[in-house]
Amino acid sequence: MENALPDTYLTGQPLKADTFLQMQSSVKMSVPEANLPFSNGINEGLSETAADSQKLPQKPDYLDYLVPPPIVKIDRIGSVSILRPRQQWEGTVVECQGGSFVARVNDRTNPSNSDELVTFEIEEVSPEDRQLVQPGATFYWTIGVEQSPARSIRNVEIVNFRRLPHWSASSVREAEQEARSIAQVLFLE
Amino acid sequence: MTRATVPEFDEFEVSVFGPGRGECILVHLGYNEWCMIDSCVERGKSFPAAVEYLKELGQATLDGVLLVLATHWHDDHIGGISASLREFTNAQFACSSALGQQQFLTLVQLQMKSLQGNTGVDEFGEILKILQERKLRGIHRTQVTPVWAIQDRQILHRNQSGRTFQTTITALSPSDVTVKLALNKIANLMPQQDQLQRRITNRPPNEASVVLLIEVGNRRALLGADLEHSGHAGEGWIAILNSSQCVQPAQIFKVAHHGSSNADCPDVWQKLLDPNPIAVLTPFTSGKGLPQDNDITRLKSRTLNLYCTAQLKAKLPKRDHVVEKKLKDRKRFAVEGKLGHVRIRWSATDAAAVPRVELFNGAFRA
Repeated sequence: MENALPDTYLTGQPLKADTFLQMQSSVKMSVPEANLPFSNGINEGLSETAADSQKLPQKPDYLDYLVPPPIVKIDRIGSVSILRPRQQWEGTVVECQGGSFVARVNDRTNPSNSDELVTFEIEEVSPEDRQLVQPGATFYWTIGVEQSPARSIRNVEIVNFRRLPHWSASSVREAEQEARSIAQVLFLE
Repeated sequence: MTRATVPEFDEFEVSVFGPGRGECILVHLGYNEWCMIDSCVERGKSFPAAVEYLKELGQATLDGVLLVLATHWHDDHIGGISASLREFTNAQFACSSALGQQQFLTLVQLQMKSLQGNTGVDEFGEILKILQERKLRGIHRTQVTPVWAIQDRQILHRNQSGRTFQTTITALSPSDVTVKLALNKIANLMPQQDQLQRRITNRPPNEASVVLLIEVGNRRALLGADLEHSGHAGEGWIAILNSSQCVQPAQIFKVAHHGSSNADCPDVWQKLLDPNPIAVLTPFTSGKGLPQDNDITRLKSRTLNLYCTAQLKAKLPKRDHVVEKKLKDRKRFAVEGKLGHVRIRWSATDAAAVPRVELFNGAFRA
């Protein structure tokens, strides 16, 4: 597919500060973390402000959240790729159909847009993440422009699945206990 | 035509809101007393549909909401229901008796510890928080303990002195059998130890939906929720038809389950509804979506007065050209469109009065 990317973009592993650094940007990320694109995991370990000011358009403060910060990848030999997201969604798989799956996606770039039901091919997901593609699994879907170490530019599309923890016996027990206590308090049992 | 007119004290109003995926029904029970059944939110609005509308009518109407009822916990019926309950400080909360069981409460508590959003379960979790807050504030227990809806249970009755007509809300479902079936399905949704955390996206069980008969004076509305027609004794519409509660047929019908064929039971039209009732349906946008053209044809053969809150196909948002180019070959559907509103007003005391049906924001007569 056209969106073939360096493996580290596609692994679905949480992005670490030593691998991905947020570019300096003139755009203040002045909204709460929950409203930022790449929140809930993808921003982990990344700073919230910085300064690559010449390259990003100036926008009024209230539109800050519409401009996702660029993501920089530095590989083992020090080559730098920059991904400038233009559009991001958070998706939840609702149905798996053999070689494809349907997901409900929520627009993180412009939250006033309607959610959409979108069909993805399984090949769009990295091999390591394919086992995660099950109803209820969540992922980030990004369309952006990538600048390679050789400074060539291409449009890319990334589907990056979230790896959430497993349910533990203790969390299930805790929930059962909370449910019992709610029933006692509210339902006069 | 303006929406912002308050109904007369003796006017029965049934307002059905639907943005293409989701629905909310607001009913004026007379004397500025209201109930809200299910909830939805129009994208970009600060408040759920019913709250937005009542704010247009004036603050006093918000104080008049006596009941918030969730027919079931699917995301298209429960979006913004907790925010509505916060606004309606005098309202009791009611839901299917299947949802008061330990299994469902455990599921809610687990989901609240994990991924939230678009599941319906987290809205229910917020409801439980509101009820706990009310308990802590010392609010009377009638507004703390939910009203559990089960077949043939009267949920609300208004007959105070000074009223010139009675108002009654009766649950016609779920039956005991369907509650049991629903609990089995809820048990299957329970996460197991060592299972990866995920959102709950499975859509059963519609059979535990709460169907309501609302009687205001001589006017009656049958609200079909998402109840399906399995054809089995003791379940779905068959269980209701075998009950003795529907003595008088209703003149207004909120069509069950977005007009799907698996919710259509001819005997409902014959026995529970007047000839040519005012029928309102809300669409459900998905890959195929509901209602399909044949559903509309079938429903139009049942009544000459069929209305729909919104078009089945909503417009996809426009994005910048690079993004649009990437998206052009991808199969996708917008889930929500404009929030349409069908409003029926009808005097509950004047026997000669005719109903007035008003359509707002893209709602249409089919």
